[in-house]
Amino acid sequence: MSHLHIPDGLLPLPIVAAGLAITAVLLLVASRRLARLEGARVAPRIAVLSALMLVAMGLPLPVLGYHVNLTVLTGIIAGPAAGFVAVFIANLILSLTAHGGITVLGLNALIGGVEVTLGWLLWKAVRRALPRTRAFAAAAIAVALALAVSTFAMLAVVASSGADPDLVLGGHVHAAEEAHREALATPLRTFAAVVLSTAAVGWAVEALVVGALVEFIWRVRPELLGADEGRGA
Amino acid sequence: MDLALIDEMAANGNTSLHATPTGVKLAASGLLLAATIVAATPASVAAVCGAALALAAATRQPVRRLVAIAAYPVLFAGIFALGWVRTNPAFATVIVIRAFSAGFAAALFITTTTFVDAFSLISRVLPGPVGDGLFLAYRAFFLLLTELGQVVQAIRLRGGAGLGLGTQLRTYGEALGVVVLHAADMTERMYKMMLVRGYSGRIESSRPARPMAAFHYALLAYCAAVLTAAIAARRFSS
Repeated sequence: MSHLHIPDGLLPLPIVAAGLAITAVLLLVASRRLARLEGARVAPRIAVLSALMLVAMGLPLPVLGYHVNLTVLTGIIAGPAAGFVAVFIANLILSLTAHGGITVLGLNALIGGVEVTLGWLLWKAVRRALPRTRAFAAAAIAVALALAVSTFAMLAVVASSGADPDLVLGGHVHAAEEAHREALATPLRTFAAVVLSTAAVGWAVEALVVGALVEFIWRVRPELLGADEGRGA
Repeated sequence: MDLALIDEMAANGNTSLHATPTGVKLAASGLLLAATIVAATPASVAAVCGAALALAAATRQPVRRLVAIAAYPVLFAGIFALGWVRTNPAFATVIVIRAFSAGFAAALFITTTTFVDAFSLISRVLPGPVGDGLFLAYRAFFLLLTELGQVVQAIRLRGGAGLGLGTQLRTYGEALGVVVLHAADMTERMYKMMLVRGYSGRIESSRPARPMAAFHYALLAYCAAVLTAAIAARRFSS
């Protein structure tokens, strides 16, 4: 996997509720903006993008246990607003089928949203700064960087909230105690080391696959990637 | 994730849970999920999980299949638990069982509810384009899955994806590219189809509500009792 879904029951309720609230606001803003700009065209567009992400996850890759998510590709094709809505729908279906936490749907969608938005920004930035760069390289750079940032974002969420079993299990909190903080730092470091070492392989796999995919589309239907400087937001 | 299997289980199953109103099943699953989150010791989380398994067995669900579906989040939870397994094994155990139990509650709901019923309820709380996108995404998934299957089959028939790992990944990337092109065309077709059918900004999906029966009240009471017990166990343990 190039992207780790947060499971249910790991994070304290206030963080989970905040994730849901922020996602709800972003969904409302994004869907209103998209409906105003695209009308009836928006629903099939985000639906197909969501389906594409779900289908890609089922592609059996020759690297054990890894699958692609295509969140960055979704950002490159659709821009951040439609991409975020598509990521939310994909995560909702995943959570209903026990592939991602239900209560943490908001946080998982936000982390996916980081990938979509950063992917879109990085793709545009690299294409603009280095116009002679091959589509493969530009997409691979965007994918690797966006996934790396989203993984660190996920680690930051866990570090800021889920690192303390007392908070998650609802027991006595001794936040100011130095020894307690030190006791929390060790498991968090282990967790970060495991996540980063496995995720780094995932970033490379997804960068290669999406790079090849984007180069293929760039050759046959460049307008899908905004070659004619079309829609973005 | 085997959406086709889940879809088949939901559409062709014939148990008392399949005949239960969607709202009741959603509430029951929500109560089990809440109990899972509230339970704070390995014993109490395991008890909640056992209660969910007992419900599935009592209503004649294919428990093994449900366990297989619910086992996937355990993989993710296991990575989270690794960090704490030495310093706080109880916390690590709770994380893993919670992930399984929550996944099981979700699996119990989605394998006994057709996607039309599930999505029509969920889409009520979603903005219009998002709710419609949810319905269309499910349909598009199966169409694109067929397309991807054909492309992968064609690659295999022509000698496979290549020898080196890099070549194979590139080939799979290009295979997905073919599916993306198909998806772009599908978007246009879907849009035109919706216009022909008089789409007015919202897909109507309501079905006549099933009447409540004694079993449905019993189901809700059972799940509420599990949640109450989990809350009580948490108060006693803290």
